Amino acid sequence: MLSTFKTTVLSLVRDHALLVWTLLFPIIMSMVFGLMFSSLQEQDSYAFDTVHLGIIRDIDFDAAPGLDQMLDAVSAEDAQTRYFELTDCADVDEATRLTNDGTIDGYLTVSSDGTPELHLATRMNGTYAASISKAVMDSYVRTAAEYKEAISQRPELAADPQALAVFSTSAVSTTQLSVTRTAPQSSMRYYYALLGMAAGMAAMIAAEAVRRCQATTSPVGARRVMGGIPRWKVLVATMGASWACSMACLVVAFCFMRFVIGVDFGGREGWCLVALVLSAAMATCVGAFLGTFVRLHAGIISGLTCLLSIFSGLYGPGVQTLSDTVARTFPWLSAMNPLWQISHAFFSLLYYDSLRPFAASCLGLVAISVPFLVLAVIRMRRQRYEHL
Amino acid sequence: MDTDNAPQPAPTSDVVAVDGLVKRYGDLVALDHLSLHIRAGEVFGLLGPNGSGKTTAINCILSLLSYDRGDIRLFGEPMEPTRYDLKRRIGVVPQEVAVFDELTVRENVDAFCALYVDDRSRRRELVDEAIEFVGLGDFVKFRPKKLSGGLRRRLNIACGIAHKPELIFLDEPTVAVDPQSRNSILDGISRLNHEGATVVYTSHYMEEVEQICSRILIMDAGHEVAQGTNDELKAMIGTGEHIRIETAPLEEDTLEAIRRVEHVRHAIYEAGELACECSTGAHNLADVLGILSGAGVSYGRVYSEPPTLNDVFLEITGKELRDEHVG
Ligand SMILES: Nc1ncnc2c1ncn2[C@@H]1O[C@H](COP(=O)(O)OP(=O)(O)OP(=O)(O)O)[C@@H](O)[C@H]1O
Ligand SMILES: [Mg+2]
Repeated sequence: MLSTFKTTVLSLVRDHALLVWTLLFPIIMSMVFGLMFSSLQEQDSYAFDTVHLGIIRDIDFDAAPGLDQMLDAVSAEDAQTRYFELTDCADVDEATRLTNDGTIDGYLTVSSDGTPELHLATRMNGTYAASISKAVMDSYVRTAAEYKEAISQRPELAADPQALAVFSTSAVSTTQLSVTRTAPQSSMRYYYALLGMAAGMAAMIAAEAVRRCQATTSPVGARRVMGGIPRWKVLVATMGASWACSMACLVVAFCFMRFVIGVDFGGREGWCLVALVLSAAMATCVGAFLGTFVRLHAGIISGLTCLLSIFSGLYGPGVQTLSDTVARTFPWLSAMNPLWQISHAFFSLLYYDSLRPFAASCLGLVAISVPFLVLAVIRMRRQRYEHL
Repeated sequence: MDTDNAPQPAPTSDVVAVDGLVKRYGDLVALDHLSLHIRAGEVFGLLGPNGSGKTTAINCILSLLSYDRGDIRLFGEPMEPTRYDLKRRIGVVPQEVAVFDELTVRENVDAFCALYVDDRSRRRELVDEAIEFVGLGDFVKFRPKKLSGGLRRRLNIACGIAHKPELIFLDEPTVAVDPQSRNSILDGISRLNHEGATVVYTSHYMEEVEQICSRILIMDAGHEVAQGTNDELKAMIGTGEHIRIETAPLEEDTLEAIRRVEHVRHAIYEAGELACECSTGAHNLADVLGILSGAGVSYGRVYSEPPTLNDVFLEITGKELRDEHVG
């Protein structure tokens, strides 16, 4: 069994094509992200100018939950970083006039459905201040959505003024804003989604290992079936070796992000390791199942991974909005996406004080892995075939 | 009453006993009631043209393929996919080279040997021996991709025999191998046999089978054409020796006279050579030479070749055994 384990590991780590996808690819991608985000950061955050923002306090503005509290928090004179300086405007016409003559940089309106809209002067286009302002408003939109959901589940919260404090004091907004000072907060999501993608690619490892121990999928497999070791031992060793290799790839990617790029994992590296263990297990179970099919191309796994990565928000803000929408509208659909579960697990570690959302994602990963494992074992146990 | 004393099937000394094996691939009958019995210490040849079912037969015997009918016993016991005790006594050299591309020669032999032998120090000895045996000593650190075709075949063999199996299946181990490598492979197989292994050898090269096999089963389209020793097989048919004689050009009369000799079936003169095909007879060559002398024809070199397994195959099936093979 030990020898099967060793043989499997050795043949996997020497497979160059496999290494490129599972080890090199995530590292290169995180380097690309790192360069992208660090150039944003280089536009010296200390030289950041407070944005002069016009506010139109109409009915819609007042109806938007916590908007006032949030704006107060980020425009207070004593705030750590003062994002906005607020100017009250009577209506849109006045706000437009003030924007055009340069008194203010832009203004905020709230549509009738409660969505805040940021109107910035064209001279603000592409500035760091503009992207920060957008990030702040994004943060508000997300917090508001969560607040509304919380209210819908526990209506008594609406009467509790403490609940509104979430907009000025909760970990949600403060974390987002404080992180924004060093690097735009949203960048973390890319790395977490990338870890999900790395796990998806790691499924190739088990698929390849299983391909090499089945008579139908490779001549080497046929030969090994004729060996004198009980089948279950071969399978346990193969799965163990695949898991170890997947784990190694993920740990390398994680360490690269954490120590070279400096990605923030909320100081919960121990829990991150748990997430990695489960991610590698998921990759092994799904990969083993796929590896039992004769006509499986490695391209299918990378294609699937790229597809699922759309819904874990790897490809940019637009896609992140899409993935957030899917997660809110069809939570079960996201829950079935292992890559979403992985990126969500890391996201939860950073985002929430409570470990419950993290645990939910971990459970989700286990729930995805088990059926694949069962199916894979059923298919791999066979040693005698109709035809080869 | 003691049911334990019910009559047991008599233990046979057959290492491989196959009876009435039928294997279908959909409508195609790949094995049609094939039976073969191989005794300990034999080199048993399975000879047949491409697609005659040799590989299918081996895979059924090894329980890698399911079959429709038949009884397969190895070492007197019914063979099943989970009979690891039986599998441990068997070595397999498959038709296609089946090794790990990422492992070196040594690591490959060790990896396959480890499927049978747990003990590491024992394995080290066995692996060294096997590498020595196939003559890959200079290539232990090579990956299979870097080896020539012939050397890869030898590696394929080493991987199948390193654990010193009692029964070895070799499926066309010499395909696409140069004559030198082929001879060393054939020598090796004979040596394994002398060391006590029973060998099952498949091929569509009759010369090889004639050279090393003590008993031969000729098959075609999934069923047995003939079975026996080399001599027995040749005695089964009416074809005798092929005679070729270098002569000066022959008169038509002389050629006719030769054709009238009792056991001569065909005689033609072509490119300075008289070629006669004879049926079995005691003194065919003397008869033919007598006629040439009588006609005053001087002759040069004389060749007399005994019938081949191809003749056996040809006579029974009406087809040529050998196909246009490479090389
Ligand atoms: N997986 C399969 N599905 C359908 N038919 C098959 C399959 N494998 C083999 N056959 C058919 O079964 C017959 C026997 O094939 P087999 O490979 O056993 O022949 P062989 O004697 O080993 O030939 P060769 O000398 O070319 O190796 C052939 O007609 C072949 O086409
Ligand atoms: Mg064959």
